Amino acid sequence: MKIKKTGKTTLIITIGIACFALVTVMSMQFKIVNQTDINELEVMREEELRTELANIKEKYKEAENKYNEKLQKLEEYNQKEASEEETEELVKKELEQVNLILGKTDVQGKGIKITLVENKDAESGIITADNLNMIVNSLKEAGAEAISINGERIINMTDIVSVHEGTILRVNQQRVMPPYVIKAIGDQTYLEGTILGNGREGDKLKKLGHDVIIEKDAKIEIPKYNKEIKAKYIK
Amino acid sequence: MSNNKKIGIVLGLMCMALTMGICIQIRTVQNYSVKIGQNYDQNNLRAEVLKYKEKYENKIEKIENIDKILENKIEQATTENKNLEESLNQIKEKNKLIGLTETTGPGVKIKLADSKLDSSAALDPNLLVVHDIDVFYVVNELKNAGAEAISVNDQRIVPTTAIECGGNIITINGEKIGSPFVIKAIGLPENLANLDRTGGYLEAMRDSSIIVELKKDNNITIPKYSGIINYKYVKNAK
Repeated sequence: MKIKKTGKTTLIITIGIACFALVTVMSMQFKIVNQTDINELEVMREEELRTELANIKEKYKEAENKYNEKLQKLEEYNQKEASEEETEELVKKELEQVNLILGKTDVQGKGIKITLVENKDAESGIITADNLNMIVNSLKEAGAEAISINGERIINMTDIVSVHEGTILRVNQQRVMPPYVIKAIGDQTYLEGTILGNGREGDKLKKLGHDVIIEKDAKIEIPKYNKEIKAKYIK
Repeated sequence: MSNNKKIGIVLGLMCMALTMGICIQIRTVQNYSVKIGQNYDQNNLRAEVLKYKEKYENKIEKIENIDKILENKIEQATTENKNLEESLNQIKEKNKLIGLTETTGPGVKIKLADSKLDSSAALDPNLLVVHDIDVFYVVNELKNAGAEAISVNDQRIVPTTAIECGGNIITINGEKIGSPFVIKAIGLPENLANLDRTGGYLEAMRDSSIIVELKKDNNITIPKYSGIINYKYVKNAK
């Protein structure tokens, strides 16, 4: 009887240890699976790594350009005695640049003009806010520096929405009517490619029967955003 | 005797479970290390990427330093110049709207995450994941509701930001991000929270079992854009 009892205790202890080991292993397992993040550099495949490298190189190049630009600015400023006039000039330029990025100035430059002519056949349907949104997004993807739709400048907080079951389109809360003329300033080849490339938004619209006309122009003019831009809630 | 048998069976089962656990563990670890050391080429690439990331971050730091020096000099050179002060304030305000400085204010926080339902049981598994277009719609609706600053997984939306599709992740500002998506916006919280209205886009997503959470918050912090806006083609019209 006694021997049997000690045997039982040993068994229970063994099972206990086994359970403990099992739980430890399982928790280790879960931890590793949790740590495996798809965005992490360690788990990227070769192809992804190559695109990542190209991206970061591009970003670095831009940073370097900007750095040199700023350095030059600083040196210029150091050379000329920091008079009140010089300072005013510098600040004025900075403000101009900020206004340009914000969309508060009339701008011009190399770019493309896209004209979308709606084909009212039942099959092709109408051009929607989604179509315009995707075109704007594609243009930004291709590095567009300024964009307008029917004269409405696209700024950071621009919304493109439809009301009345998609029949009325609004950009910056202003109604826009077909034909839609979208102007963009940037690299002409990239801009055209991002619209007309196979399966891209312009290509899709063409296949639906709408007219998508692209004209390249060395001097595209885009007007400023004509309402006041003021932050009410940002502290 | 039968008691011993029972114990034996239990012990056997335990051992089997343990062995299976260990096997799975070893296999995962093996896979993991095989992936890392697959070939030197990949390691070199990885090292190169890291090197450039570091160089990039250094450059950004240097740029910020120069900005600070210039700012100081300007402050020193200008005492009681009302015009200049006004311009400097405007630059600061506008940089907040562009997204070049960190900003805080009242607003909402929206979380979108892939459905937890078993995709093999769903009619259309595509409906169970958050797509680039979903994020795009939510951002567009926030702008419509008057948002003044927006970020997606801490990537600030600036004038040049595009939301790109990249398989089961999306790319914003050149950075890859995946589910769950946390979208933060500053604006009138009541207006922004109206996104979650009956018949709205958020509700439609929730109906297809995607996890959608919207919370109002009086103190939202949105980070600044981590990259650089450098225009090459556009000029101010004369």
